[in-house]
Amino acid sequence: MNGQPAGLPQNSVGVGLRSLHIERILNEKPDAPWFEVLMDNHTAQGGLIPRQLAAVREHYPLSLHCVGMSLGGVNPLDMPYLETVKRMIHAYCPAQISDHLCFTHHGSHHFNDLLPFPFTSESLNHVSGRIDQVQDYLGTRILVENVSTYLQFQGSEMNEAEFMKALVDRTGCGILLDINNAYVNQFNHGYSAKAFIDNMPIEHVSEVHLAGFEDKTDYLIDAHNNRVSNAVWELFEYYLQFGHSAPVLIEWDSDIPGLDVLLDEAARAQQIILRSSETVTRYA
Amino acid sequence: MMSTVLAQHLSEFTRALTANPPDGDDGFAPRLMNSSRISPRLALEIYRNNTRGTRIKALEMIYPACKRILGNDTFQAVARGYVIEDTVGAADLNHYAETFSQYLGVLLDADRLADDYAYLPDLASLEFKFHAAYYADSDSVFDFELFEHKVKSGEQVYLQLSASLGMLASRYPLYKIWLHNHPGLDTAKNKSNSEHEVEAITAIQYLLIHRDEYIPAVSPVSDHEYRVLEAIDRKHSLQAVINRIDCDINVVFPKLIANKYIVGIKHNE
Repeated sequence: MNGQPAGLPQNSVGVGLRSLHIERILNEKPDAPWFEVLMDNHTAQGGLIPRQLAAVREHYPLSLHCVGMSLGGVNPLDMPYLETVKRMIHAYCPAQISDHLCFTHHGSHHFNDLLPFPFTSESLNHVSGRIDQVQDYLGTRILVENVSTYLQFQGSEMNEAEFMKALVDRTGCGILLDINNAYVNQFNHGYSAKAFIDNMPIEHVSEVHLAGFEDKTDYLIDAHNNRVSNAVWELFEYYLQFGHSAPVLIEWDSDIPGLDVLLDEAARAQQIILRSSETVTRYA
Repeated sequence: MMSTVLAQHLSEFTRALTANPPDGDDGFAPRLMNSSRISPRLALEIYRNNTRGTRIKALEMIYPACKRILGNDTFQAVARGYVIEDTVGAADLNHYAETFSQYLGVLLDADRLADDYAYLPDLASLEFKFHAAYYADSDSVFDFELFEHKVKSGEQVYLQLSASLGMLASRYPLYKIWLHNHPGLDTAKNKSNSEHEVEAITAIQYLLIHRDEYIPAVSPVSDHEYRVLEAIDRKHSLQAVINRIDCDINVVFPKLIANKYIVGIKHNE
């Protein structure tokens, strides 16, 4: 494509682009403002995948979401992976590029999962340097997403919000705020998700994720296999009450339902945004 | 790799996740806080399940016919065994588990899979090649003018195979087994390969896996065609292929080019 990236509309709600929906999306052109592409599922350079992605891009803005930069890892940056990201940026002109505050591989081991690391000043220096390198190489700002975790390190010197704020200050990166992850962490670790949101550099949030978790009774798993829970909708409303307008995404990665279900969740998010913006305007 | 406290944490975390049996968390667990709901030991178990679960899902996607034949429970058990043994994984799960076929062979040799499943390693190999063909790069169009020029000028010519081409020789009626067990097989190309073609191959069955445009297909081929492609794949020159294989080149080569198994000439041999 090699054109200008189309921005994501403020206060809009996109959905994740999933392969089983693409044919319908291309045939029916549903009224979705944008789609998020999970980059790691679309790296093929030949065949159906790039053809379909180019066709979707003709009609919709895209956001490129990555899981393999391993920003918190200590292996050297995976340059072939970043080359692929760069190629995808060149080909599809995504409005935003994002990855997670985690590590995904170490030594020769690839985990295909988003693993946490301790929030220390040493980690901050290290991750800041890697984000700088990534942004320099890609020639663009990236968004960094908070992840859901099932453990916390004794040695952490700051909390996640403080760590992310420092990253923004040092690197100029943006934030992808995953409200479901914040809620899962609140439930699993017993700290306040509202306080987490309060302490985040909210003015630098350029995208918000909403997703469903799996309830294991004693703890929650960030499974992205369900509708957004009432508790997460409430937390979303809390985030919105301060007048924020970053584009929002409905994420659904496992047991993926029909496109209508995703669009239905997006419509619900859109209604909440609308209601919230009316309230904010009234009391401004 | 940097040598720091962070690196040490990540190394211990990695050891705790990949140890088999999972006894590697003794050094790591003390570094973790006891949160209100999840003990360090449970946390590591959750991460082990997550990482393994993701890979098992990848195996299910790549090997649907093997799963259908083994049944869900047996396949899950086999897949779990594979991902536990394979602690390295892959950065890109679209290219994960090429060695699953060999793992099935090991299970057969150890009598952990019944002899009835002796064909499964070959079937798994076929499924991996089919999956890889879907993700393969597109090919360029055969340049006949360049080919003619090189041949006429007496240059050594090395042919280029399609990036999506996979080859498989099996003593089992693999094509038939695959057709019956590959879900969602509805492309006209696959269905057009009638079964009598398979029956005609009485000894070794030669199969090609190839993606012409968007969807891969599996096609039985003659031993001559297979051996020509195999020789090209082993980097023999065109002349060497012709010398080695006793076949009518005026029939075999045009067919292999027309089917886009051979897509051009290599420049740097």
